[in-house]
Amino acid sequence: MSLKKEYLVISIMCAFLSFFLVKTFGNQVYSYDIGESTSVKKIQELMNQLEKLENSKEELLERLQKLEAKISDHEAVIAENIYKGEEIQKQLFEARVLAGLTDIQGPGVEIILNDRKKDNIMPGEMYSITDFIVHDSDLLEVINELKAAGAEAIGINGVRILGNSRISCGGPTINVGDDQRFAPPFVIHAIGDPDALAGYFQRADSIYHILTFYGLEFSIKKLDNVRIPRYYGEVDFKYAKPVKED
Amino acid sequence: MSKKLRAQIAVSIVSLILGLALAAQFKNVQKVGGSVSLQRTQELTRQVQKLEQENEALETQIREYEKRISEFESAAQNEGQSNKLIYEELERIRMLAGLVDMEGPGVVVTVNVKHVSEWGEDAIIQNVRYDDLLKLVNELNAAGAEAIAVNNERIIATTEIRNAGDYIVINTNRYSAPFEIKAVGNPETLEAALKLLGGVADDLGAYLHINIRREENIRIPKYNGTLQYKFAQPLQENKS
Repeated sequence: MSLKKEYLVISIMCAFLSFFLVKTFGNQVYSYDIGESTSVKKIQELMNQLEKLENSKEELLERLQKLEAKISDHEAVIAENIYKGEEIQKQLFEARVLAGLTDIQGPGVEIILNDRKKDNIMPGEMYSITDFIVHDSDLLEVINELKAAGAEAIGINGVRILGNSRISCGGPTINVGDDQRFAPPFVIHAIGDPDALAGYFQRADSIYHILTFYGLEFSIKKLDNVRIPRYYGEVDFKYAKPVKED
Repeated sequence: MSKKLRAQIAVSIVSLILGLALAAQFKNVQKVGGSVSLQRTQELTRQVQKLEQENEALETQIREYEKRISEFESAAQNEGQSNKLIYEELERIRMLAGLVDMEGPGVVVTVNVKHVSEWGEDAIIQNVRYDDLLKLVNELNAAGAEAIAVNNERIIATTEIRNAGDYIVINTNRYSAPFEIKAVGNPETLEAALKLLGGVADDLGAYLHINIRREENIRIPKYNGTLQYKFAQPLQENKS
């Protein structure tokens, strides 16, 4: 009996010893893979956060719609009292459409722009990694070509592009519009003649040929209906004033 | 005694192997889970960031609407005041759309070809390209320009700056060098953004003649093409 107990103790100790041995060495080898054990917790945390954010987005949108309705009520009341009030209201609406302050829809294209996939780089291929990623200047060119092709409204990852929108480099991300940072893939929506928009990228001098030459993902899909959200954000003129003619 | 020792060694070795195998097994399982979850974590993080930004934009918009509504409410008793509000709003939106002549402080940037003498003969390094102008305009926008015009073509949401043969097309009209870019905004910020060490002016200055000067009052014309959507339709109904 005492002999058996001895065996048992030794074997358990040996098992533990070897287990921790592997653990220790294993950790040294794989130490770059940070967050292995915390990943499940981390994912749960992120999913909770995501859900919360989605809920608050819905709430915000609801509030926004209520406020919008309130404003147009106010405008309608005022318009009733002024000369040609209806005309003013119509002008207000049309100006809002042109200024990008209304959601808009119509036929158009969807372009997806993404970095080259790591696994289709040929072994021994001569390259510089910067050739394979989407740069701010690439995005700027694509948007400019869409405008040249007659796009009436453009959005990048859901951000409406206005005349004063910038597209600039923010390290690993690209800044679009006021202060929105995006990492690839970039989903670009444009409303206009789908054939004209898609066809423009077949021109010999299009950025399309350069980007696809380097193996970047550049897909163009014609769509019967594209929806582009309105511009959200502050519209403030601090320096520019309208010219008053007398 | 020797029999006992042999048995002990045998058991130890077996246990050792078992332990190693067990640990290796755990390691494998975790590794697969780890790389999958890493991708998932990244994607979720991106979604969280995107939503955070969207919510922030919505909140800004809500604050602006609330401000407007309180303006309406405080003007409700005064007919003249409320009428003024609605005309101001119309003006503000038309300003944003680029349909109003604007003036204010800012910078004027002139872009021209650079002349060099080669073997005693006059030559230029390179013509002005459309993307030179595109970069300048984008940089000015990033620095907070409120209104921009290139050769008096107002830059609006649909403005293209694109080459067509030897010309550059802006708002469907053709231009060639020299170019004059006018931007209204904080003059110091606009100038500093362009003159940043290694910035756009440095880049383009290598082969173009670039001049940047601040001005107290710049006048920028409104967009003078016809603005009419053929394909795009607003989603909300016109309530009037």
